[in-house]
Amino acid sequence: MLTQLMKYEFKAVGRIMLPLYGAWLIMSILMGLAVTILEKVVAVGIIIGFLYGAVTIACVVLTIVMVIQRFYKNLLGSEGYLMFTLPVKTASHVWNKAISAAFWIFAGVVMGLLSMGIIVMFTEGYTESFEAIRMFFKIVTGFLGAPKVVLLIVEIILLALLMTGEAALKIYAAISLGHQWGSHRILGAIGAYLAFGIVEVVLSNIIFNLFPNMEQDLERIFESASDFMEMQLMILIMALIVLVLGTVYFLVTYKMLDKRLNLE
Amino acid sequence: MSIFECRSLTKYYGKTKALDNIDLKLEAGQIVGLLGPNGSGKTTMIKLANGLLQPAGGQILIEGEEPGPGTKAKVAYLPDRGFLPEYMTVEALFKLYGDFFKDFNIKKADQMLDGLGIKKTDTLKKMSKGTKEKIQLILVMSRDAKIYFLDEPIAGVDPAARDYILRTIISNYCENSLVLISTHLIADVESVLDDVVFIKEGRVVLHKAADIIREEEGKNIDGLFREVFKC
Repeated sequence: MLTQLMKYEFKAVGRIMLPLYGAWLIMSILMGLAVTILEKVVAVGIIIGFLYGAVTIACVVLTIVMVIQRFYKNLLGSEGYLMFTLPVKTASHVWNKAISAAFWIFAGVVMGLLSMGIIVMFTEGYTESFEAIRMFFKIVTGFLGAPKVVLLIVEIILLALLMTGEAALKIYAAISLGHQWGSHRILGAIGAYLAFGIVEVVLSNIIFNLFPNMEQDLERIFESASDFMEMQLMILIMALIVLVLGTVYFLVTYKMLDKRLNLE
Repeated sequence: MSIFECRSLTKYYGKTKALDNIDLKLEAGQIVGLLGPNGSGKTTMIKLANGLLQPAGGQILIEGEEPGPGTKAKVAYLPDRGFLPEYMTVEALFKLYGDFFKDFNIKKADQMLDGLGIKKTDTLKKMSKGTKEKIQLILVMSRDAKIYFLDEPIAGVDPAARDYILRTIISNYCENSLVLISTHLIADVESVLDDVVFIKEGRVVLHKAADIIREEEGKNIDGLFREVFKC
């Protein structure tokens, strides 16, 4: 049933985001033309620049709005009457929203890179720009070997996906907690989100105090390891922290939706 | 085992008691009217049965099972409000119901849609309130469910639409299932009810077969309702 949920989630978000991505790509091409061929027609350049900026901002803002709204409106608004009466486990709903959020944020970043790539392609020095990127990878590959570079790239992408999923779950946990607070739901959600931040800081301080030598220990390990191993360790530690936090926020969201659901 | 059962079911909204220790058993194969004035707890009971609210105390059971994915697969629910995504077309909604509910009968849905003059490619956004309610009803009644919870299905629509809705309910529910209709518009539904539950301030004050009420009280259900709930 999770795949079915994901299918409908993708359609619901895609019907807004995909046309916007299309507009973003078209504006990128126009922007590329504006900075090269149309360089001398200043007025056109300004208008295109303005439109490009507007589409870019719209993509960023709408991605964030979508992440929040698809949870708040689709699960806790009147559409929740449909969603929560489907024969689906509550955990699947939470997974669905978290995976969708991670996917669309990631897609937004990829689109941003693509947009920049398109604009650069129009400039005179584009071969140099791509050459620079190629050289960078050549040096890194020469240094580490191709398999390790591929591994690193995969790891970084996975870590980024984990982090966006965790960030979304933190928002969802805050919204579900805020929802318990009858008439001040949005205020409650913002309060809960800020409280999560404070708890995270306090907890990390406590952990650092419990293990005062942790920093030196880590440094020692890093020094004795090769650069590659150092990066591996860093990624591993970050992934573990994100996984623990993500699990906690998942469980908070799940418990609130499963045991304390209170649709208006 | 009853198909639907409440055991000491209690629900609070803040300090207000919405349902007060309700015990109720309903059997399959009948249409039951859950009747009471606004704010008496009808919607609360139905939302509890669908797992949209959690009880403060007691239990609510569908074929002996508490609300969860298992019960949701055999319960068809028509909420008292618009609950479908407005951007979706009738066609997409039929598909969605078919994807999630194994008991969704698309042939039945198409038949009910026939003659209504609604295009399957129209989105809900384009439709009038009455048409939207008909689409919601079609989706719910096209399921071969064990229980149909219909929360105020005829409130806020014109008399002609009321007739269509009641006709659709009677001619499409499965014979061995339970239909629970909550409403305060008694006169309109009276003729279709087999069994009647009066609910007042969160308590069940009467649960009897419609025929017996008419026989014992010497008046119709609408008349009895006006007496019991006299302001």
